[in-house]
Amino acid sequence: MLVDNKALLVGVGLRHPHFTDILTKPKQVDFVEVHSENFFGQGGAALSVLQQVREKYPVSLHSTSMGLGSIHDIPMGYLERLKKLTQTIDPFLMSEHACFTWGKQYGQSMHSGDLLPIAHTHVNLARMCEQVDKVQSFLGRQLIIENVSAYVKFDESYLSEAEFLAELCQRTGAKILLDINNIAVNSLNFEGGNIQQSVADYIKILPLKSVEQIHLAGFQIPSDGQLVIDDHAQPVSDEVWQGYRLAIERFGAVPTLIEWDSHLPHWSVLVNEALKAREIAQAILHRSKS
Amino acid sequence: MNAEVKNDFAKDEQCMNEQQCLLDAIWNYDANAIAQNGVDVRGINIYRRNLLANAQRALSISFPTLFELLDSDVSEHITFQFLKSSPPNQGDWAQWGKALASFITTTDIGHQYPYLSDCTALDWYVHNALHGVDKTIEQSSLQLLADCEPEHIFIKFNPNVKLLETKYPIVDIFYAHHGDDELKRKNAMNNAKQVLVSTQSEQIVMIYRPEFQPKVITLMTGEDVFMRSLMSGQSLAQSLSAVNGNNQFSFEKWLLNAIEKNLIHYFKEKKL
Repeated sequence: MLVDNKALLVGVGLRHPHFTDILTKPKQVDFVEVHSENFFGQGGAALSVLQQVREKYPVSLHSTSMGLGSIHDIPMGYLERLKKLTQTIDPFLMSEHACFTWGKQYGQSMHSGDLLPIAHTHVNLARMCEQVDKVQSFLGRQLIIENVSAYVKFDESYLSEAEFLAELCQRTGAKILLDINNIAVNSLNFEGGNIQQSVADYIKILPLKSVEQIHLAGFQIPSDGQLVIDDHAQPVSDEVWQGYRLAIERFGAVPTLIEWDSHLPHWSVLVNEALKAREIAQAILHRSKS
Repeated sequence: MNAEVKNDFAKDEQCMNEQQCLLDAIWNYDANAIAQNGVDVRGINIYRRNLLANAQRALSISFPTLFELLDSDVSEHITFQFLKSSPPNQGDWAQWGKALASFITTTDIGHQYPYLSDCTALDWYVHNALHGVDKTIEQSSLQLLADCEPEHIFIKFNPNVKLLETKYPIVDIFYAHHGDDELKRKNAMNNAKQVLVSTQSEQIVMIYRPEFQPKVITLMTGEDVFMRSLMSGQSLAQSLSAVNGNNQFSFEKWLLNAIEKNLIHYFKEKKL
């Protein structure tokens, strides 16, 4: 079933080497997304560039360190910096991951420096709902929560990640950022690698109006016996494009973003990936209407 | 404790444990714990490699001079040790590294090359200035120079201005590794080498940010005393008397230079 609930927007993740391109090249994408923490400074050139970009494009703030699933509290200093950035940029979307990041090591509070997976249990669900409520209240914004790629699985999990996120959204009013590439990576690492099936199984659990954004990215095929790494260093794979088709068929016109973080390509290559997403989505939406 | 509360407590403990176990496996690589918990070692290895790569990338951005000076195997070792000594705790890699300069002094390479710690401190100040708050002089406050006695005038410096005391040629070392002009980099390197083999005296290095790009200079004699006095909270009169015997120092020249370099945020009057 198709829900054509909003205009189809396509965007790209904006990284430092493309700052000049975004400000000088003709506008071909509808929005850009940046990692919030990269702009936590009080001033300087990077923040100034982002403010200039904001004058031309809607900006989505994608956080990577909040660790909403952490059993430890998110430090207030982190939230205050995020709030200040939010007030400066006025993003049209704000997202984070369904993972944990905060903990203790050597007797000190610490940040893991990575998106670490959580066990999908009711205890963790309750904890994450509490954190999401707190953050949404503090920021005065709705959060969009992203499914993550993982390299270990917890035996303690008895909910699927999709069930966990669907319930989280229902309880907190948050929405879902559906990362098709993360489903693909987990499918290859833990579910036998039938990516289309994994995406289909995943999205059928999510309520029709719960998905507010889609992420697409590439991954590296590993050598035999190794796990797939979600490195965002490749073009979007054919399997992920297929998964994207399924997602658009189910959720309709959802803002879609191309993420590319390592071995960044030329700006035009990145933009072409976003245009490809638009073309695919429009074909599906058009077919559905007709 | 009733049964329900006990049960919740146990669940919380379990939740804490699974997160803590994963962190321990990644940070301490306890092979037995990994095997006992049935965790895929390949996954732990990916997280460990990611952690080290992220940490190295972060430090190489925040401390570019230091990372130019160190061989890659040494920088990897220092990053690994520093992660254990001072784990990141703010959720922003760019804010991690404040303690690196003092950490370097505890390492073999820091003992062998004692200037590395000061180079690291300079990198940290430059890094912070790069992301520091954007401030320019409050022009109206200049009027105080005409209206008030120097005894009552104090200067609030731009927050991106820092002073660093060193006996090593860290400004030359810095410019030997920064900038597009290869000749200037070579000259800076030659100067640094010459100073390192000669008698070294204490000098004051200043970090400042005229626009977006931070700069570093070694302060001239007189200027260093004057700046240190002002920045320690002394009045203009007290600071001028500190350079009273120095014929080369001119407040007028200093002021023009300070405005050009964006050193001053504002002048303020304080009745004593």
